[in-house]
Amino acid sequence: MPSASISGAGVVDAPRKAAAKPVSERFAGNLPKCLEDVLSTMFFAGVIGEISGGFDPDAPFFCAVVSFSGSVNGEMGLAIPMDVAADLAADFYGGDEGLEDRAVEYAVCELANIVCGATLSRSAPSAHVELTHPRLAEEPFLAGSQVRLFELMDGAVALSYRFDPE
Amino acid sequence: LSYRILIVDDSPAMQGIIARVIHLCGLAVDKVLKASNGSAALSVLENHPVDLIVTDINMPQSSGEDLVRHLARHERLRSIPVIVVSTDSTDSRVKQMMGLGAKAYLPKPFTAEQLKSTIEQVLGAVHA
Repeated sequence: MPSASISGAGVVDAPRKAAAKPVSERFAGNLPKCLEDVLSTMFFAGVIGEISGGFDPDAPFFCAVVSFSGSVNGEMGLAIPMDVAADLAADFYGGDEGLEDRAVEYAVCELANIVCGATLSRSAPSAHVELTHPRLAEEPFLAGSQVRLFELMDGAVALSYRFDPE
Repeated sequence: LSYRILIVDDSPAMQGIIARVIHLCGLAVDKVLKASNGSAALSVLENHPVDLIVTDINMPQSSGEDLVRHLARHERLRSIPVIVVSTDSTDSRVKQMMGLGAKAYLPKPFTAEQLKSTIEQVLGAVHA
C-alpha cells in the first residue's frame, strides 16, 4: 500500500515500472490484491479467494458503477449482496448497527470508487484518469464486461469491468 | 489549542470516516466542518476560519485541485495546510498536488492510523 507523501518530511513513492502489457491486462492482474487491500484496510474484511460461482444475481444486492476516462476509458461495477454490504458498511462506519439503506449504498459506492481508483493507479501509474462519481445500477454485472467473483469471509462480491479499446 | 478542520469530499461515507478518525485520534478539535466539493469548501471558508483542510481530488463541479489552486492565490487562505486524500496514487498526481501547495498526500485505501499520523504531522509542523 502506498504511504503518505508529506511535504518536507515524507518521500514520494518510488517510480513503479509499468510492463508493456495493456492497462486492461494489468488491471485484471492487480484487481484481486487491490480488492484485498481495500477491504482489509478500510472495511476490516478478508478475501478468501477468487471463485468461479457463488454469487446469486437473483438475491437482493447493491451494485455501484464507476466510469473512468482519460488515458484509458471504461467502467467497473461492484455488486454485493445486501446483507453482506450491510455488514461491511457497519465495519466501515465503525460498528454502527442498523444502518439505513442509504448509508449502506454510500459505503458500497465508496468501496467501488476506491477499488477502481486504486487498481487503475497501480495498473497505469503514469496515466491520467478521471473517475466519475459512483452511481447505483440495477443489474449486477456490466454488459459486455469481464466478471470476477471473490469469496469473502461471509459472502461474495462480484466485480465486472470493461475497457474501451486502447 | 483546539483545531477547526474542514473535510471536503463528495462521498458522505468518506466524510464520516475522516470525521470519525479526527474525533478518535485525540486531537483537541473545536469543530469539524464538511463540504462536498471545492466551491462549497470556499463558501465555508468565507465565514469559518479553519486550521486544516482534508480534501479529496475528484469531485463534481469543483475539484480538490481547483480548491488548492484557489487557496494558493489568496493571501488569507494560502497558509491553511491541506492534506489530499485520493484513490489516485500516480506519481504525476502526487507531485502535482504537492507542487500546488498541499502539505501531504494520502492515497486511499488508508488506515485510520495513517490518517491520524498524517494529520498530526501536518498540524505539528504548522504549529511547531
